[in-house]
Amino acid sequence: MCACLLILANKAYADDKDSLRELFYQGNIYYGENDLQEAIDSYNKALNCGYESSPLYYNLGNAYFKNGNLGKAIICYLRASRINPGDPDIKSNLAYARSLIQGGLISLKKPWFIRGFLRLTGMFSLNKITSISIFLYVLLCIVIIAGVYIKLCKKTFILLYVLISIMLATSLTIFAVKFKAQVTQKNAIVTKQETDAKFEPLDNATTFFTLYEGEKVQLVATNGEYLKIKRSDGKQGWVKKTDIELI
Amino acid sequence: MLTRTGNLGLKMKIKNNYFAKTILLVLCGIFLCTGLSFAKEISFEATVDKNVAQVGSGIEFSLVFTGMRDINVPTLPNIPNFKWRYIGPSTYMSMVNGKVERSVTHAYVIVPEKTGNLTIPSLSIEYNGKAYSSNPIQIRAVTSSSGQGQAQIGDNQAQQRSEKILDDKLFMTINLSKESAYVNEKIHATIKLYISNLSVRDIAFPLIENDAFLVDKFAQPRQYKEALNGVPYNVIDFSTDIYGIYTGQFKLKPTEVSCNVITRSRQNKKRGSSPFDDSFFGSNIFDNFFGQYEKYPVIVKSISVPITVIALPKDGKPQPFNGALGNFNFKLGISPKDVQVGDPITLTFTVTGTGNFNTVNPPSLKATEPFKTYEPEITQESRSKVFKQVVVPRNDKIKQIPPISFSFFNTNTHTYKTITTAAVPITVRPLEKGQELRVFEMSKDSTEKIKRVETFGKDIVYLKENPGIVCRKGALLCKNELLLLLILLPALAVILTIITQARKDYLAQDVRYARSLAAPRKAKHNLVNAHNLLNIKETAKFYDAVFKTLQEYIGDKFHLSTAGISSDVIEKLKKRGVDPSILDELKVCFDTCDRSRYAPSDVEEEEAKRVFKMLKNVISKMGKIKT
Repeated sequence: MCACLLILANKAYADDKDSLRELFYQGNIYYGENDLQEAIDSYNKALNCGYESSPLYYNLGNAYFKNGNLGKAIICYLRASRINPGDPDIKSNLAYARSLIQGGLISLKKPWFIRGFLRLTGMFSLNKITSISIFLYVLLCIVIIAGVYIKLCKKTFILLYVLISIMLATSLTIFAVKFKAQVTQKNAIVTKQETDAKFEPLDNATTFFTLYEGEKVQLVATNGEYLKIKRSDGKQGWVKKTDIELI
Repeated sequence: MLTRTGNLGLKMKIKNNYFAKTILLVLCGIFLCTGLSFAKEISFEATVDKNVAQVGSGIEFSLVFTGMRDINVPTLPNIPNFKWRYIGPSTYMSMVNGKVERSVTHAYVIVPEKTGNLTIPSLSIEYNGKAYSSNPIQIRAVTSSSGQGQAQIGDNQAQQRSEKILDDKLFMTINLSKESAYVNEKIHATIKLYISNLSVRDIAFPLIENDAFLVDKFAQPRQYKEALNGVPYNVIDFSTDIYGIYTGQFKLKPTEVSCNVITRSRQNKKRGSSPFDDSFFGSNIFDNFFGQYEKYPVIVKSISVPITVIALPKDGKPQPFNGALGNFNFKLGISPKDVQVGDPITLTFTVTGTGNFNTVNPPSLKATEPFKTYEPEITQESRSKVFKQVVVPRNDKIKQIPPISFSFFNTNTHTYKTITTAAVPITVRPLEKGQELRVFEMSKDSTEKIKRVETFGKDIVYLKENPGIVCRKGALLCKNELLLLLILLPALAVILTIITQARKDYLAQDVRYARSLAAPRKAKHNLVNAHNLLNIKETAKFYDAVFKTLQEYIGDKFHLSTAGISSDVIEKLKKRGVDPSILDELKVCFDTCDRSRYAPSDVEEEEAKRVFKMLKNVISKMGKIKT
């Protein structure tokens, strides 16, 4: 019975993947014919199959970009980047899309070591750094067990313990940072061309600052139709739910 | 859009057995890894949409290139009895069982010129050094009836009408910054392509062909909206500079821009008022062509523009004049100003302003000056030109860089102008004693490297062709519960290993404790052995086993040498405070064992059982004693 269920599940899994691929290629053809809305629909249908892939988000981002939806394009590039952060095409398109944000990017200058560390974390996806951490952890356990039984070469074992422990600590730190950025912390992108961040979650409240399409914000709290967001320079305000989209 | 013919049956079978599919994938992987690969399917074929056509009517003729890349537009040879016209390319991509198949179709319209059975001959192409031929096609051309002839005339009129409408929707203008210019004077040309309610793609840069003018590279075109007579247009704005090279009156030939107009056949049929309705594009030739879209190649032309090119005036021409045209400013920079004979000095001439910078040549020191000069490095930008020239003083008598002149013709004031820099004092120190004059050669260290300034276009990178690794949406490894449970296993293994090894080490160091710990286990084993001997009535062996059990147990328990233990041990145990009742039973056991050894016949079975019971009792009681 379990085997039958497993086979059925596998079949459904394979069918969904085939549908995704079919819709992906369909989207590419529409894009090639400059029918951007149809391309966007195809890519979105592919994503509705319950599966995802970095090229799918990337192509959807391109279609949104060409269609003039800068905010949605940036969201898609960021989603693609989460799955495959090392892809140079994604980096390039994301950088170009960000360069078109009205008023430019607001960013605070960080110390060199933080910038270096962030660059290092940017090289790994969350799943990849999880795999690396698990591998290092199992390796450390094996080396400890081997060290207990093998009485010779104590110095070599100590060196191995230290080396693997440093690597494990680094990978766990990267994992923690990525986990926080991707799972714990809710980030969103402004999808409306221009939206006001207000002092209060009310329609007639005073505008504190203005956000432009494509800007990245951090979600802080919710109140009815309004979301409290934090901009990269630390300024907080209330914006309408419909004006931003979670990454 | 995507078809899955041919392999559909195979695919269904594979789907029915997912494991078979997995095996198939693995096998494919193995083939790939071992360097084996299936031959790429490359084909070249010709197709027509119909084999029977009227004389003068069009037939859609397609050349399909499957599995070939970068195929240029093939030019058809003269096909006897046919006229032909190229329509445009289309790309088709499909994926069957993970295999992507691409084909490029170049479409033509061919028109039979006479009735009868006509043949489109086989066509040949060469791709990657291999020749491919298409199939010959038979066409039956028939005469058209008079009614059809009238319809044809009606079509032609409709076509002319539509072309007129097209002119309103797609046209081009050219605007020159001046109508009269000097030879080599910069004339800014702005070419605007106006598009209204049309989908236009593959727009090429404008082509300006005229032998009497030099044309600069076009800048990146700008796009914006502009209203003309109340009609909104999308404008593509190309701009460049042109330079007259001969004097005289000329007419700049019409500028051409080639592009493709895209129409969507289904939508066009719904919209009867569209300029690209059936009367213009929707003849049988284009129906259902490319499925949904029709691509129509169009060349848009501007009007010709008159322009006069005049020569520079000879009056007042300064010496030297190197042909610079425009309105310029000139500055001189010198670094360093304190050198030794033979050391390099960099002179930086900076010419800024507006005009034709291509005509600006480097001013130089007079040849008579006691300097060795080198070829300058030139950096040109849109509004400046910089010459960096290295000069080397040959003697220490040089006190200054002499005045340097730069002359140009000012096209605004129509006069020549010369800018002369002031003499700049420099210090040239003589060579020290023993030093020889060395003429400095230009190297990276001596002069500042002038990097070429290049402007690159910016846009997004094109689509990915394959969907890549597909995974469940939002699936995170770190949230997998099974994995989190499995992660505990290595940690548990480490803890168990450490505890076990620590206990082992401790027992190896404390033999007394190890023996006392092992004593009950060994005694239990020996008691089972003795009980078995009692059951099979091997009395002699039973007593030997009882004696051995007592020896080993007492030896291990009290950390004594096992070999020497007999009834004499009772005294030692008494000193260690063992309960006398236990010692009495122990004595009985030892005595009975001794007796059975020396007088076996005296020992009865009942007594043996009593001794065994006593032995168990003694071991049990001794087990409670703390040593």
